[in-house]
Amino acid sequence: MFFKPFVRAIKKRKKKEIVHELGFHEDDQPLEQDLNRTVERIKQELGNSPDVIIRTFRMDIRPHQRVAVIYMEGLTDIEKVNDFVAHSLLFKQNEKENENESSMSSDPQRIFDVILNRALTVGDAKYLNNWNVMMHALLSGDIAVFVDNCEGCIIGNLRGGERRPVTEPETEVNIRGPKDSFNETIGTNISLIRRRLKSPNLWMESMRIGDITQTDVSIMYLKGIAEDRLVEEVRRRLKDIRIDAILESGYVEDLIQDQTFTPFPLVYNTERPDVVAGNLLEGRIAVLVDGTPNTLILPTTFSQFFKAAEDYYQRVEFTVFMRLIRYFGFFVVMLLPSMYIAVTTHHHEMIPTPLAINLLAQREGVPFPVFFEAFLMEAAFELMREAGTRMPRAVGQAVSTVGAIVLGQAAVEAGIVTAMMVIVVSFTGIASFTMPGFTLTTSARLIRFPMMIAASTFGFYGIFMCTILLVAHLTSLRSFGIPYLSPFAPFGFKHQKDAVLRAPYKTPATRPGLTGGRQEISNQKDGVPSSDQNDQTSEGVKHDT
Amino acid sequence: MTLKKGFLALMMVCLLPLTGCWNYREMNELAIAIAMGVDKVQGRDEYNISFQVVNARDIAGIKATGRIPVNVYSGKGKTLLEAVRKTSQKVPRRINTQHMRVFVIGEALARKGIEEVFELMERDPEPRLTTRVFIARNSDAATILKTVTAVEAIPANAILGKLKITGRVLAESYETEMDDVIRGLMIKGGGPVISGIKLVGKGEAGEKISNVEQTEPPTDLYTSGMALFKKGKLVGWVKGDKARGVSWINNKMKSTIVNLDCETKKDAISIDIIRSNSKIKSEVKGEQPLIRIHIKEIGILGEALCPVDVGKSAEIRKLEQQWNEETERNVMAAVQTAQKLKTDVLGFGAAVERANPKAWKKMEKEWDRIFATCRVEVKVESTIRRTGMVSKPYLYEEKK
Amino acid sequence: MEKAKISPGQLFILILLFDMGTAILRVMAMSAGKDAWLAILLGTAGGLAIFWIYVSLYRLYPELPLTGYIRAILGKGLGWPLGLLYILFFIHGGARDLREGGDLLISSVMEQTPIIVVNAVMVLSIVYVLNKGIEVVARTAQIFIMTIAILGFLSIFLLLFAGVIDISRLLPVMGNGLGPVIQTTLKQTIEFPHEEVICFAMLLPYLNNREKGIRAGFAAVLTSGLLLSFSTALNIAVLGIDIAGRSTFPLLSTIRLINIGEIIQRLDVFVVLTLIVGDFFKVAIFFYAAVLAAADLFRIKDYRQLVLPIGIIILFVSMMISSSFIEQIEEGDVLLVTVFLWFGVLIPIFLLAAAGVRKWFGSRP
Repeated sequence: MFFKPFVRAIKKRKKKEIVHELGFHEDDQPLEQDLNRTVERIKQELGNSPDVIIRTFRMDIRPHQRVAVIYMEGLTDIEKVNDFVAHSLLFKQNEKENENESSMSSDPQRIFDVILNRALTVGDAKYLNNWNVMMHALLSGDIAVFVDNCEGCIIGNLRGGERRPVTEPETEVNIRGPKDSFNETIGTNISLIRRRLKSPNLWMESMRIGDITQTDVSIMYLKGIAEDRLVEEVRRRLKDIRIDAILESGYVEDLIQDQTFTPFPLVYNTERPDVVAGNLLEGRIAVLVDGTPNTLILPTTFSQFFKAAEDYYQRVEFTVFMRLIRYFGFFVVMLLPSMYIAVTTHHHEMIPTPLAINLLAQREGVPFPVFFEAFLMEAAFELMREAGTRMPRAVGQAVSTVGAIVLGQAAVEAGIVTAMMVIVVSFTGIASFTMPGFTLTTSARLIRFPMMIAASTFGFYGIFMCTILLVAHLTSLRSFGIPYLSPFAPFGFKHQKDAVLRAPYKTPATRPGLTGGRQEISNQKDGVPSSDQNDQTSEGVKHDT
Repeated sequence: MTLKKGFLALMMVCLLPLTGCWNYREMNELAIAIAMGVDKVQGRDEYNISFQVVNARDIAGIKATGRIPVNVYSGKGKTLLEAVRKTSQKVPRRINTQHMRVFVIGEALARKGIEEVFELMERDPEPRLTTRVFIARNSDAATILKTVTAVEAIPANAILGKLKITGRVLAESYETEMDDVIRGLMIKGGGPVISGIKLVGKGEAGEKISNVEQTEPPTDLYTSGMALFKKGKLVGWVKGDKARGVSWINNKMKSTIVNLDCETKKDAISIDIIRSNSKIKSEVKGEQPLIRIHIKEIGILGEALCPVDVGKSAEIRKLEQQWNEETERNVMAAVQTAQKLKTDVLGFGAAVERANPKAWKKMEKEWDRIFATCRVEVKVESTIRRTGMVSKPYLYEEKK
Repeated sequence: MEKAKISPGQLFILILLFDMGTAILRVMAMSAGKDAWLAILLGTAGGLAIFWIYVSLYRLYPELPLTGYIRAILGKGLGWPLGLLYILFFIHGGARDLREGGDLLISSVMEQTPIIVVNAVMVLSIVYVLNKGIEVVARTAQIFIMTIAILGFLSIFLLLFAGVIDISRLLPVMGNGLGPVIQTTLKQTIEFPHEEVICFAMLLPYLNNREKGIRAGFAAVLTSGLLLSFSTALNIAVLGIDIAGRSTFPLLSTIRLINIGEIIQRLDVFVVLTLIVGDFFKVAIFFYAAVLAAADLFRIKDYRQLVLPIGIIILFVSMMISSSFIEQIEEGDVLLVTVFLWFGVLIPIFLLAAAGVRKWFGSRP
């Protein structure tokens, strides 16, 4: 909290300078009439960058007026420019428009009408007369058509260039279910969602955030299902953002979450369009950010991180079983190493006798105390994991093999660590991969270390006190006014249908409490008690900085 | 603010491991005492405590050194705790009794009285009340603990295994846990029943690992009968049928073999009991209480060494009748022994209390006298359910 | 004042945890012998009556906490000092339970750790949670009641399977007649733990549903009485009256007897968790009542400022309160029929009577 105003101050100062340097004008400026001056100005504002392509020519209908098509190389689909713009403007006119020449020559401005209505074969094209909007469109990959001595220009959407195709999701892998995932283009991402929800109620709002990056950010929700107040709140928080750059949805997440300092993620993110669609149907709101496949979903709850998209496609029995396994996995990651420390250093009486003798035998001659041993191995595991994420793919195999063999087997054989510790650590490691909401695993991995310290100091007392504090912290968290731990605390019996369990679709289901009017609609997922709803959202508003 | 607070909290968390070594004990700082023995020091009012401490490496099979699997350490003291602490002069590690499974009391001490022994066991948080208690028959506890056994590397486990199996298939002794003993000590006019463990062979030879390097160890430990106590003092041993009778009355009968007579041969038919349940009820008429023991048991025909046609249910009825009588004989033998020793190890007093608390109030003080003369009725209902894999024995066919 | 609200369900859970907090661990009503469970059951009826007094006062002054209506009934001159005494009472109650929990924990599993450290960790944790408000306390309780319920069911199940339960140890019922049972009921089980529920007189104004909340409160008192009675009966049936009567921590001794096939055994951790959670919420509620009372009396807008100071006071009072565990228990028995009786029962009865008189005189003209 206390360094935030400081950052704000820096940003404000910077913004003004940059605005002047880069020539982004605050006010609405009309375009130049003279084509040469327009071209010069564009060149100047973009610092004579060579990727600005300016193509000037004369149309047959108006030989005395020069026409210029300006676009950015790489952002615009050049083939389409050639086909639909240059071709239609240069050639088609010859045949059709000669008869009307006389009538047209009277008003130079009318040429835009002709281009827009009869010549230009681009679907999304419009006339505008605003320098800033034009510049932004140009930088987004649109083409701009200027005519000499005419006010304004025509903007055509021929965005294209190199893009990653829609591929299989890389982080959220499913066995059953759709295999497409978002890519870096917001338009594609929106289309992927719309394709799933063919409803006129799927509403979307766009805004640009980031003083320099001018990143497109869109809010998506289902009108009538998402609560209006919630939409308003999201809109407000997004509008309040003052920052230079939004390069990824993580920036947005950090700026709109309810509480900054907590190890738990308060906004869900996914790269799967089917997950977004499902959440929209539950009354949640999606925030899409251009330039990243990770879409934000809010508000979120703790239980959401244990739900895989596949849960809704698989059989109910299997789903419930898998969810139980995931919850178990979460507790293993958080508690197993500390439990092991507590049992072997404080509560020897709780180990069954044969195991106690076995452990004692393993411990003979190990030079480190259990706590240090555990810390060492956990740190080694985290190192390997980080190395595995960052290293070039080509050496991946080598590192994991070396890591497993050297650190595991060799350490045990040398008598540096006990075999049991290696089992505990690797089991913890495996369990950490069970959660679909990867961000929550990171929380558990972080919390594990203070837990280990508490366990080595106070044994089970320390672990239990830490757990109580942790639960208290979790219950105090809210994501856009929704209690994070719902529907467990506050407990909502109705909403248990999609928390740990998942009721079959045939059972009548209620929509989660965060939705607006219609509660008893079709078959829904997830639940947040509605009883708490009223004053919470408003409270969430107050907490916001 | 939050950052500052968080930083402070983090600092405090980091400081914790520096301060706390209060209860932190590594496994390899401990000597796990798997069994404990208590004896009376001859001629002095002191206790001698022995611990059987495991050498974990040699048992778990990791880095085995081939040394003996357990060592025995002992110490003397006026109180048990003092004696325990005195052993620290001999043991390189802290003795930990959390994993104690066997508790042996020497017979000499048992005859003098064991009331004091269990005080520490109840008070100290380390020992568990589920520890099984034994009386070292005709020897002291230390000798028992020192004996190396075959099959099970840890002698305590061997003793325990023998007791468990005996209790489960023969019922001539049964498991007694510390809490049973403590409850037993509180019985008015009675006492606990504790199983005996007997050293067979030469004592000293059993202390070496060479003892188990023979197919039949020259020195070994056997379970042997049960010790009957009165007010914490050992007053007598029961064995065989009488011990079985005690098991029956105390509802500890799980399984045993009862031999029945045949027309041609005595003790020729073995019945294998698979389930038994007994209830003690009491009626008080005037001064004298009447105790009713009701036993229901189910068994199978285990062996028939004479020509008997067990394919007929009439024959089975006869066997059941015989079995009833045999059971009653065993039970009455146990009752008579207890009455002769004037110790209510059979829980008759509790039955009287349940039936008539007011009358019990009067009898309470003189219960051992009343117990010795009270009338006992035994009613047995037995059922032979099956005859095993065959009906008539081949001996029956042979005779024809 | 805090704006937070608690639901009837949450009140139920808080009262349940509060009533059972330390009571379920301790030996209760042992002077009634084998009929301890019966005495507790009878005591529960008394407990319901006591709770009725609090509820009647709450119905008269639904917006005010205990310290608030004391002043409304008795006037400022008399009510303010009495409120001050209640603050001390709550602090003392919290300190006693803190000490008791710490002592039990140390004597059973962490014998080498100094009690001040154990208590300080507990108090600091409670300070953190109370800073977050009563809602967070209630929701945390919801999570832990589920955990404890699961452990409880599992324990009963395992005790049954281990075959250590012997119902005949509970017989004969009322072997010594009704006398000792009634005596124990009057002396002990009515008062403990039911008169400590006075803490909730500070919390009742936070209820978001008055009538349902009151019903939930009665249900909680009744349920906790039944559970306490059951657990006492279980202890006696497993350990026998002698061992259970002597034991400082009978529940632990009971659980330790579970031994199924030498594999399922050593389940002490169940009891340790119950002890820690129960003690946590019991102290937390005493603590919270003290903080609220102080905030109300001294007109402090944000009660959070008081949490840490009062926490430190509770910590040190818990250290000074007695020199040993024995003294603690002895004092407890005396306090139960003196201080706790006055503050928990007699003063509320008097307040109710005074309020009744006030209303009667007030409504006549």
